[in-house]
Amino acid sequence: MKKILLHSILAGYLLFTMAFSVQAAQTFTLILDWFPNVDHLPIYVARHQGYFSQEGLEIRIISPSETADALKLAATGNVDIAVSYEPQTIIAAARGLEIVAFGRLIEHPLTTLLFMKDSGIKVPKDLEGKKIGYTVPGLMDILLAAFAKLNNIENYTAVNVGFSIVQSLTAKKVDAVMGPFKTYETVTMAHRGYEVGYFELEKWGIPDYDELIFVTSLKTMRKNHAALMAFKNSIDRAIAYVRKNPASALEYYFEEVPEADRKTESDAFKLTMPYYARHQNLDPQRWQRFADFAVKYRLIEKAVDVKKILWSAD
Amino acid sequence: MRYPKLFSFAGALLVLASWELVCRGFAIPDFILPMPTQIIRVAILKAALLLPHAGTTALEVLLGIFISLAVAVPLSIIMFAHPSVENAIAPFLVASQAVPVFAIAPLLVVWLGYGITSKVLMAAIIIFFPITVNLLEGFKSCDHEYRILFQLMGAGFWKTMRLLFWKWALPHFFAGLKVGVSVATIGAVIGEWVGAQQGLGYLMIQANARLRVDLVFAAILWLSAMGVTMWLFVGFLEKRVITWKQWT
Amino acid sequence: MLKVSDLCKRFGDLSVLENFNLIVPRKGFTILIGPSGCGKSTLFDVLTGVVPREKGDIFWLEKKLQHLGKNAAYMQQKDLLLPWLNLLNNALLPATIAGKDLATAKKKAQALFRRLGLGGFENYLPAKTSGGMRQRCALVRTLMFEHELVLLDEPLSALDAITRSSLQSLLLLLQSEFNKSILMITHNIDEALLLADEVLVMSRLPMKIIEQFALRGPKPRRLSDPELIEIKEHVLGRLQEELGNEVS
Repeated sequence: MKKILLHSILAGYLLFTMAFSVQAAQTFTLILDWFPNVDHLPIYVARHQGYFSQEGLEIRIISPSETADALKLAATGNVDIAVSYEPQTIIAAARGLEIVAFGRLIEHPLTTLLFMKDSGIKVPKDLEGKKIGYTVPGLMDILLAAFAKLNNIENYTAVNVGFSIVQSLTAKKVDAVMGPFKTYETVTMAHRGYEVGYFELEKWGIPDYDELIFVTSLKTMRKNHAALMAFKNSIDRAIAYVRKNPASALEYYFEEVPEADRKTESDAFKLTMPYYARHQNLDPQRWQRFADFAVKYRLIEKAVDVKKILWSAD
Repeated sequence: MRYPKLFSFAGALLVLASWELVCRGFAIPDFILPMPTQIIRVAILKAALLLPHAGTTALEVLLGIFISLAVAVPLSIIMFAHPSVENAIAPFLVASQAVPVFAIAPLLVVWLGYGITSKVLMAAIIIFFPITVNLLEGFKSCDHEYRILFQLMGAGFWKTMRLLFWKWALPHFFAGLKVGVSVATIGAVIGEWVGAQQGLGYLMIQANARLRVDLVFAAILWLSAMGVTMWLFVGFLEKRVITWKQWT
Repeated sequence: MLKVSDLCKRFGDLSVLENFNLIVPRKGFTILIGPSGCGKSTLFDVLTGVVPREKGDIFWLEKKLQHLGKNAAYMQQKDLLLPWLNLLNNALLPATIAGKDLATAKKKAQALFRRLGLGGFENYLPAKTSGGMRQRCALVRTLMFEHELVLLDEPLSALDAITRSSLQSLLLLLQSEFNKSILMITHNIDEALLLADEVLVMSRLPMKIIEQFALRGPKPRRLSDPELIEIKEHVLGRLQEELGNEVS
């Protein structure tokens, strides 16, 4: 018995030290905005093709447990890079968080207000008095408020649905959801035999914006700005590759993300293709337009100078 | 009750059969409630996916148990040796059990990150109470007369601890360990729900987001199997260590 | 010899021993008999130092001692064998605790085992043996102490009549063979008469010696001996008086 005890203690100690073993090379933790899907395809292609390692980078990709975690964790320095949304970044900056945006993934809005076709909703005003879910607290509920203001919806109940878009719609817990992407959830629903309708934000009063961007804390940027620029360049290369070789890019994605559903994500990929960022320059004018819109419609309390958020150095 | 095992087996089969029929009969979408047959199929076919996650969760639980034991055992001994220490610590001990573990989880993730440390700590915290309390009770349950016997034989406290109290407390200790092992998995999984990169709890969240509820249930199945295995293993250890009891 | 003078022991308001005096001659069998609850066990607790006393002196072989803890062997009604040790290891417990050389102790214990009819049962666990065997093992453990003074607190009370009878003979043999000075408590008058060199009749609380009989008849004795019958009548009478005093 003493021997078993001794061996167990040794084994436990070994397991313990292994779990904390230090890794070589410059490792960065990147947290996605959502569970891995084709929006993130360029990141996985960059890893698969070795673009990261060629720059001396090792990128550890993790997905959030809560929809609002990514930006939070980047802002506190718990992770190095987060995939975030332009509106979310502006809102966070207005609240005083020291984050900077430095790269792009998706260059136009994908967010929609999604609903079941059989709900009878045809125009935004039909949402009057309804229960509307939102996916990301601190972002989608605010965009919903803006959408409501722009379209004269005075009464509605907002419900946080987190990741559970499909379940909340099909179980009729909500009449519509703000947050699903027109390139993804529409496909998921269709594949399960559900017919949906949606309102695209940019068609109903919200200015154009970068749907998915890369952000980090100001502190992290100051410490690692060369490496983060190298990361940005790798993404750029990857997107160029995806445009040239969509079929193999998709295959590489499935290799990196084996739990992805082939059918859904292949169809979603076709829809997402046109939206991958053609270049990595974040347009200050476009950003300021959104920031001014945000102040005007009281999405944020005080005005934001986007030059402070956009990292321009190289 | 002639054949109790047969009865419970038949009962389980009945529940599963009704579940299957309800799902099929009402054409319930598989992302609301999957059928048992689908769950079992996924649990087996996706073994290659489930295994590494199960390994991570198991590692978190085992490390949590080791850490908990490393603290709980000496602490129990000291509390038994010095009742003043026990009185001082008792409120904290009860608090460790009363605080809902899912309230601590987000804090641990913020402090310790998405790695396994926070989950190991969650598991350790959740089993700390049953182990400590059971072991302490085990020591205290020793008949006073045996204590006097040892006293009269000239044995000091630590010798008595080694030769009498520890052996006496072993059945209580294993009872606490059995409880601990079953709840440690809960701690690890809750930790994973709040923020992780691997593990069955993490897989459950990701699978649910992808509408693979059958995979969620399959993960639950694997978790139950893990819990049962650990329970059985502790029982096995118990029989090996406590050689003097008549096991019915 | 053992000399006890002016022993005072009180539990709160209750005075158990008040200026209690006792002399136990060496190499003999002194037996205390009295109504239950009269404080006989308390006397032993005080003598061995298990409970403190308010007043009084204890002398063994002319030397004043705080208590007899390290100078006497003590056996009780309960065998107090450790369930996880076999009979031999139980008997070796005093030697193990004292850190003595176990090889010699083992030889001595094995010899005693054979002497007491336990030969061949050394490796048995207590749970697998009868009450009589366990009590004999406890007796071996008691004899493993090198002390001359042996305190026995109703050692045979838990046994059936036949086993009791055989162990009584054994006690006689051992007392003479090992030259022990034995102070024993018993409820059983017959037992006292068969074994004792001196019978001390106790009062009820506060405990005092109310009568003393020397028994000079050769041992082993028969209960049919007229001398014994006479003494038995007398003792019974005295005890009934004591109990009677309580009622009135």
